[in-house]
Amino acid sequence: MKKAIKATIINIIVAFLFLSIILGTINLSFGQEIEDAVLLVNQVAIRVDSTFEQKPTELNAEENRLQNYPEYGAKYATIQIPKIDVDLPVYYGDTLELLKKGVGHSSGSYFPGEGGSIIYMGHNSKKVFRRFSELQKGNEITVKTDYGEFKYKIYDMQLINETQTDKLPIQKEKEILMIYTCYPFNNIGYATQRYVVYAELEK
Amino acid sequence: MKNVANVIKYIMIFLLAVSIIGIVMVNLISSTLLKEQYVVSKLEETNYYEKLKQEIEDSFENYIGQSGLDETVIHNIISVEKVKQDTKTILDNIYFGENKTVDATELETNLRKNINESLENRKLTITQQKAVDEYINKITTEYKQTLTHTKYETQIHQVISKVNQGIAILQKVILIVLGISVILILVLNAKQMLKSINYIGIALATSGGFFTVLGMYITSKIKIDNIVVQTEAISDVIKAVMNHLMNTINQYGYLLLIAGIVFITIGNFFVYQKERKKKN
Repeated sequence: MKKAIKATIINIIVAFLFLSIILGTINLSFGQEIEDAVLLVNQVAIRVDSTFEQKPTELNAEENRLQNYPEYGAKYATIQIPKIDVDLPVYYGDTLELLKKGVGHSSGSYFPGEGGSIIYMGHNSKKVFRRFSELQKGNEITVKTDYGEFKYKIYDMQLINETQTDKLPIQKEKEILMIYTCYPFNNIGYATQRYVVYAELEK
Repeated sequence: MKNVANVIKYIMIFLLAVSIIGIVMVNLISSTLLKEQYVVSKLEETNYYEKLKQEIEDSFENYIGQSGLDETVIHNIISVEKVKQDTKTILDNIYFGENKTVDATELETNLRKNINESLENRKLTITQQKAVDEYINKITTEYKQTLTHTKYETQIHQVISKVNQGIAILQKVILIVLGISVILILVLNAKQMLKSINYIGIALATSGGFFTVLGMYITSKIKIDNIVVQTEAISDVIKAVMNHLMNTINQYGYLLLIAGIVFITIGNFFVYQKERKKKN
């Protein structure tokens, strides 16, 4: 019986040796290609860091700066314009994907509370800013963020061309909320004009 | 002479192991990735058509915001059944080289009807009518593009055809090598036929070990469930296919490994019994 066990072990060792030869040959012949293929697949296999947690955004009132800015694409506020029954989420970013969900915040502009230009935009669809023409000077806009509530009063409205970026200036002397949408509101096809509403922070 | 026979025997065992690995691999590929029916089953398993319909509708929404048209115009202009039918057309082009095109007439008719209803048949200026036509054109193009994901159907079909031809040849070669090695092992052990069992066992254990190592290697190197390719619908299909392939590789690995060890043990046990009887 011992002999049979010994022979079995030897046979398994032989199988193991054969396996090593096959694997060694593959590694020698295609080692680099296999590494490249694994690298390629891993480039599309995103590793999600489940331990990452977005820290709450806070306003440093002394420095007029936010701490822990919202992640790009995240909803960080809601905008309310009672005059035209607008109550929409505000997302940090201005991609088409985000604009489908609500109002976008131009990533080059400041955040509410930072004392500078804030640029928001939205489609002129019924769900978003179709009724923008009804807005008048003195109407209120409220932006409720995770770090505070900010009230703005409309002081101007302008019709601009899409290329007139000087009408949406970025500055940090005064907190101004600029919201724009495509014009005409019931336009069909691509609109080259923008209707901008300017509002200043209420003291 | 006995040493030469032994060397040949072990070469044959080695060739048999390689042939088993080859035949399993070839069958695995030809019965999965190269079969349209397999891909269709994975599409259904992952609710691909429903997800794709959603993606198509989402892509329409990207245009609606800019068009100035009401959101309702893109409601109910495509159905899951139509998406399924058109996906089948694309798969037929890829797998069988058919030159069918995706028909977007139904979509166009529904969209135009919805736009007319939304505008309450109001009189449009020439520029507005052009904009509507342009919008419809954009939507139908978007539908075809989102549905197809590739413009290289013909090229993919050519690659699949070549792979199919190559695999058919490879299959024959492997089967011949496999047959020859088994026959030679039996012939070289004609006097001790029972020993052939554990030699075949060695080949089975080697190939089983190969698939087990392969499975472990892929699992350790690639996070299949994190794969993201183009869209969620496509990623889910790729993940389902890869997970299925991995499961099959692991199953083959364990099965062949166990079979190999059983063959080796039984073979040696019979040889030992026979020798004991001879001695007695």
